Amino acid sequence: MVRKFSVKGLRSPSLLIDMILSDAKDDILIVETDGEEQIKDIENLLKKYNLKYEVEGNVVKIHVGEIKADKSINVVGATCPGPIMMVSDMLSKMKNGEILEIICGKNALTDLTEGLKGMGNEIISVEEKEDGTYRILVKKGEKKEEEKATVKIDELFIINTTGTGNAEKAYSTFMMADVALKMNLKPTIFLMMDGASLALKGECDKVKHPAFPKLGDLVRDILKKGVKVYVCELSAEFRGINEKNLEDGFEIAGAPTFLNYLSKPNVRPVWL
Amino acid sequence: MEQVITLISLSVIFGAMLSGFATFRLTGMRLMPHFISLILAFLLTLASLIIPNSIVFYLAIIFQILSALTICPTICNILKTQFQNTGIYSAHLALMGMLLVLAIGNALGIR
Repeated sequence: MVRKFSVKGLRSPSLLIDMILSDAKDDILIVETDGEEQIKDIENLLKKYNLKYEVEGNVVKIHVGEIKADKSINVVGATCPGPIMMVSDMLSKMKNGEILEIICGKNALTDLTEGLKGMGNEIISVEEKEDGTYRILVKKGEKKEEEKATVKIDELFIINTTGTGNAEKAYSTFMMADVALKMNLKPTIFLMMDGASLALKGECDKVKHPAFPKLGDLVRDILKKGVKVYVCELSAEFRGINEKNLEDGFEIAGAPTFLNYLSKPNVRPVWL
Repeated sequence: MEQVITLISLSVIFGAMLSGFATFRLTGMRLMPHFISLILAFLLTLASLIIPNSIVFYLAIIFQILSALTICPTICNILKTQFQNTGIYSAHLALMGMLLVLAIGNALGIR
């Protein structure tokens, strides 16, 4: 069961959480806090009980015991768009609030978490298993109709379709991401079609225009600054690119991730 | 007749230099060895038309063959990972194929 509550304004939130934990069994507790001080207090308590937890901003997610899923699906080995189709089909037969356990490979991880969130579901937890697969727990939800309002564009989705074959566009992709960061716009890069060639290990280091630094250096700098670089799974497969020869820091993703970004109202796509 | 083949080779090289320069700019100047050997092949082929010297003649043929061979690794990579854009390289590729055949024919003295 997933339980949500707020401890905002409490001086010692750990006292309340201790009480809740005493009757919690196989639960996930989502605790909304005021910030750092309350989080520290809660963390001390959780360490004492040796409980697993995650902190996302001002929210603490506490895992108590093992959550029992209502249904389970294994999509290991399936490639894009297979996993999201199989999972969506399964979710369509479930009721709101029910929990689905998904076992998937690394290739489908981003697609499933991003895609399912975009569809209005809640990702409860993501765990890496010993065999290299992932276990995702997702709570079925529904996409809420958003009221029409003025939305501030604060993210750029830079899509490269030409790769190293067009050096100018390759440079622009990463330089634009750097400029966006300076302008407080969050950039995300998506490489598809020939753009996937940029994801081949060492390929960016082969591109050097006399007037600019080596493309590889630019890419590493952008990754260091925390910019996500996704590579279309289908395009990568067409070009023999996989986890083994993928450039460090790049992530394989598919159509759900791509479409999820394009459907966000605060995101502006830039095609290169 | 040999001079005619050499003249055809010269015109193929000149055409390849023009189409090659476009791809050279596009790929971020990645094919420097190929471009240098193409320029040398052009100069030596031109010289072999003017100077009747067998060393210049065979040097021209060597650089014509080298020009075609130096493009192979990059083109193989482009065909593997950037096949959506291969159209822009096709004119240069065709001229390189022709140059290789002409160079071998010239070296074997085919008339």
